[in-house]
Amino acid sequence: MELDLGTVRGLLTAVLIAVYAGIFLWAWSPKRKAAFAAAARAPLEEDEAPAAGKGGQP
Amino acid sequence: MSTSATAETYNYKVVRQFTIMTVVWGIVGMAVGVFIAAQLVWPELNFGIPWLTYSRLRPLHTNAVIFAFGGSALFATSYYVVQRTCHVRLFSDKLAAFTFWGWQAVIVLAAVTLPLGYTTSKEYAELEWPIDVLITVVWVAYAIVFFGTLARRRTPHIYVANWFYGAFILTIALLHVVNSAAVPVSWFKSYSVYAGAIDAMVQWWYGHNAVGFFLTAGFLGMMYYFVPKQAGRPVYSYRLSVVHFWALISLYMWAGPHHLHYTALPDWAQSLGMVFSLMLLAPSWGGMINGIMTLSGAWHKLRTDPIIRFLIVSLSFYGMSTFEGPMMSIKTVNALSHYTDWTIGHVHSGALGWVGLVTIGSVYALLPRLFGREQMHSIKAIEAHFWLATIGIVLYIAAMWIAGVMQGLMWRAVNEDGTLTYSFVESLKAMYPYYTVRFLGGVLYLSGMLLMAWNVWKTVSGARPAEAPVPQAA
Repeated sequence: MELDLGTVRGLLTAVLIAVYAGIFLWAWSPKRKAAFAAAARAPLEEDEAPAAGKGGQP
Repeated sequence: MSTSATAETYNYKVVRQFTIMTVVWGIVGMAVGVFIAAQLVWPELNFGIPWLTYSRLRPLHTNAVIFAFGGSALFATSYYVVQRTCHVRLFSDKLAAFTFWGWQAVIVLAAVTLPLGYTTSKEYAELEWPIDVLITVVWVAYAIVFFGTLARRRTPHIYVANWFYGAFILTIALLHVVNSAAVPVSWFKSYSVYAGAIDAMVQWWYGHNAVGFFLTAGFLGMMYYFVPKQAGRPVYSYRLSVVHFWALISLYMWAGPHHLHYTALPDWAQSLGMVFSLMLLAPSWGGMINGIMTLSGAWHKLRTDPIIRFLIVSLSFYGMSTFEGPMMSIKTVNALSHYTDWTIGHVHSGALGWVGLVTIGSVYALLPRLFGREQMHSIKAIEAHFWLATIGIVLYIAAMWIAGVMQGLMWRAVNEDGTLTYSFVESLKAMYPYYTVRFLGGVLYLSGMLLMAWNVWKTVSGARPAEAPVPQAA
């Protein structure tokens, strides 16, 4: 089979669709659940008590 | 003095500088917008002075609101978020300070050269080549600071907001360098290296991705940090945010040709742009739903917390304009909407509604933390700002929808014998009431920003800059 530009483009499209499906499966895999739950708390857990006294006062 | 003097702190100084300038440039850029909106109603407002003509002030307005207001907000929040979610101080204080002063210099140069009439004539990329070089240098420094901070992080995972900020920084570098490639003929004049339909395609590849990565991905980074933060609960679905990220950045790249429907651009490229624009609805709405549903179980906060209201209503406008956009990219719809004020209405529902409101909400959440205050000086003023802004947007976009559809219909109307029913000036005359309403909407939105400036002033004056310690390794 001759590998012309059209075939390469077609194959590339197929590869990209597979990659996208892969990302989807990776994101939804039960193994990732705990790590994602921890990551999702990133904006919350470091919350300071309103920064007032911390730097302003001695 | 003993421990606190040696403990590592976050670099809040550069965040404070960019946050304050966000408000300042917001007022400047929107004031220019209101002024040129008034010129469309009362053309003699240019007073016969070349520097004040609409054609020179319009690029000043767009550059100021996108790159000065939006840009400062993105610098401020990305520097804040990357430090707080990576538990590490910014990579380099000196480089960070350079990005602040460098970016302000770019803005001032734009404010001087655009009214003087120096322009490349590329929309949203009007600045002449010496300024483009400065932008490139500042942007490389920005990338080094941001990715350098990510590389030194003490947390195992890179939080999703940083993925969006990172994609925004990388893509803008690529877009700016490719689209601004030009041959200089003097200090103030250059010619694009591209020509004809290719020049148009490069320009709108740039233009639409400036929307997709500057005005969308960057502000989604803001959304993914400040919505969960203000709601006090983690994002609705983290795995949806991962899929949202990859789907959004891979689809946006191809949507640009929808700006060139029915032009010399090859037909297949136009259709490709339309199909990718239609597909963009999926990740856009996925992200919107992810943001809004973060509030599920805490809907009462919409009633009590005006900052949450800014953030959630901004997501509603995001959903609305990302539905409208794909619809307008359909070639038959575009045949009616293109070159009319419908486009202006669409852009402002995204710019005032999504970008503006999410920025304002984030600044209200961020500013007290930077100055060691518990909250903004006046919550009532935030409440009032919310209504001024929302009513302003609704007046603006409703006026532009009617104006745009009316223009489209008048321009395409033909008589029995095939001649045009209306002359152009007749359609222009029909615009008077809508241009007046648009001007009023802009005045309301701007007055909300002035109220914000007062609130910021009262919150900051007398406060001492906060220094927050970096948590030590767990």
